[in-house]
Parts: sequence; structure tokens; C-alpha cells
Amino acid sequence: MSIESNSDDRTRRGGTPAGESPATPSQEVVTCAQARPFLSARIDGEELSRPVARHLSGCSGCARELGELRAVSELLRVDEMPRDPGFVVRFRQLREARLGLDPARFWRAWTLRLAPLAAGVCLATALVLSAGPDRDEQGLEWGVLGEGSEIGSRVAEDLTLIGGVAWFDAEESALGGLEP
Amino acid sequence: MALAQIAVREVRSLTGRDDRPDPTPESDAHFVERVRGGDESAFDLLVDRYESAVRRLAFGYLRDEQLAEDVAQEAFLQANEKLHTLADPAAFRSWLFMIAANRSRDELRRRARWVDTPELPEIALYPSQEEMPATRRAQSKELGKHLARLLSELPDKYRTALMMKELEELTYAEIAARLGIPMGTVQIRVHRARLRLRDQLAKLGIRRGVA
Repeated sequence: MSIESNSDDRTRRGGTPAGESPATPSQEVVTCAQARPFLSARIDGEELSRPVARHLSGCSGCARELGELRAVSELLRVDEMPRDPGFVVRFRQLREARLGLDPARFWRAWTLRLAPLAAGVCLATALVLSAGPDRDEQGLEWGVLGEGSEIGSRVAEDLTLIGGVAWFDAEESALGGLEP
Repeated sequence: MALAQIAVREVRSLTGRDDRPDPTPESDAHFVERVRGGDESAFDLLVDRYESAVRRLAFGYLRDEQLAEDVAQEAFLQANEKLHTLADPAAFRSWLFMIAANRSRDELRRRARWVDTPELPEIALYPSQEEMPATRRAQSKELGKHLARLLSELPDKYRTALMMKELEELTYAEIAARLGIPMGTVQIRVHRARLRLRDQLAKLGIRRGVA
């Protein structure tokens, strides 16, 4: 069997059909123009029809073009990169930094941090009010919200409840933030 | 028999059970499920597993180690944020690579607008290991910039198919399945991409063989 390599083929080096599917030669003998669209398939170890494989094995013009395209392919390939244990550390830092910039997560985080303080303030106020009217050294009356310890105690209960709810909401909000 | 199988499938679909096996403890799907369950540290294990491969993929597009690192970090961040949108946890790897490839392409386009590529002396595209290794190393950085530019100038469809082949080392059948196109189309796109690159490299004076 002869391998055809005509000047027409050489002027259309590597030419491919106009469409997006290579025409698979059905005859036993194929030309360079018919075989060259399969050069990359050859480089990539894809299965070729027997006539195309036979042509590419014996044609010097196609072999030259095959070499050029193989060089391009090898130029593009990248060796395996060594693992970098620092990458995941940098990723965590970047993620934390980004999360800090997310307004929803920012408020959620700060709500959680401020909740104990808010609860403490409410509790302290409640304790003071529940002690009933008293006078300090300058004669100021502390039980300003009520006329006695009874009203003070009721307000104290409410404030304790508010503090507890603030704490609960903050915790729930923080947990909710981890859900997708 | 067939009716019984259909019935089982129907019951499973109605009860929310599918035919997929439970993920093994070391599988991507297992880690994805853990992240979805609130264990964010499980995502770090996925980062550790794929950081090298994702950096390599990004480097293949950008030819710049620092840029590749940045793109890889961004790709993992995006994957972390969008993990709830991943339909099949077992497909995490290809999904992550798709994100990394898209980010690399975006960066490549952005960079191509302002990065200047200096004139190259006529150099060998592929000198052997023995031939001037120091010269080759010095040239490789400049060559990398040119390669990145040439890649950015390829039509998207050609570049995508080519890079899936060269960097992800997928078969034509796998590329075809991922892109939803016939295998013959993949073959022709990969081939045309290589032809264009070869011609453009030749215009730059970069040819196969020694200088």
C-alpha cells in the first residue's frame, strides 16, 4: 500500500474540515488531508481507524507535523506540583478575613460576643431594682421606676428575661450561621 | 421483575432515597456531607487533598506561580461558599476543577489586557535536557508570558477542550461528556487549538528544535 503525500496537502498543513467533526475515511487508502485531522487524536492516544493509523505511521510529512503538534502539547503540560502544607493555612486565614467582611456574619459574631455583656447589665440592673428604694450618700433615690421593692422586683424579672432571651438569640443565630 | 424494579425506584424517589451508595469515610462526598452538616473543618481536608492539583491547573493557564496560587485560593473560597449548590457530592472534584478553570480563564482575559509581552529572541521550543538548561530556565518565564497571552487569544471553545486534555488529562469521551458535545467535535477542537498555537508560536520565532 502506498502512502500519499501530495503538494496540495503540504500547503494545507494540518488543515481540518470546515465543520466540527472530522470526516472518518472509509476507504483503505487515505491521503494526508484526510489523515491530518487525526494527528491530535494520535498524540492523545485515542483510537484511530486502521487506514488512518497506517498512513500516519508511514508518511514523513505527517510525521513532521505530528512532531510539531506534540511539541506544542508538551509545552502546555505542567508537571505535578509538590504539595504545599502552607496552602491550607493561608486558605483558612483568607476565609476568616472574608467572613469578617461579610456584614451578616459580622453582626452574628458580634451579637454572640455582646450577649454576655447585655445579660450582665440586665442582671445587675435587676438586682439593684429588686433591692427597693434606697438612698445613696447624696440622697438620690435609686428606685425611680417604682414606689417600692415590689415594682422593682417585677422590672427585675423582666430585665432578667430580656437578658436570657438576648443570650439565647445570639447562640441560635451563631449556630444558624453554620448551616448552608 | 422489571415492574418490581420500577416500583422500588418509585418508592425510593418518593421517600427521598436514591440509588447511590453511602459515601466512604475518605471520599469527597463524605467530606462534602460533613461540611453541609456544619463541620467547616472538613472543607480544609478537601483543600489539602486538591490544592496541588488546582494550583497546577491554574498554573497551566496563567504560567505564573503567584497568580496560580491566588486563583486557586479564590477557587476554593468560591467552592466553599457555593457547596450547597453542588447537586452530586461525589462530583466535587470535577466541579472544583470547573470553578478553577473558569477563574483561570477570567484571570487570563483580565491579564491579557494589560500585561506586556516582551520581544523574544528566537529560542528553541523544545531543546533537550542537555541543551543549555540554564538558558532554557531563563527563557521559560518569558515564554510563559507569551504562552499565557496566546492561550487567552484562543477561542473559548478551543481553549476549554485543549486545557481539559492537557491539564486534566481527560479522554476525549470524558471531555465530550462534560461539555455535552460529540467526541468528534472534541477531537477537532483540540486539534485546531494546537494548530493555532503552533502557528502563533512560529510567528514569535519559537520553533521546535534548537535555537
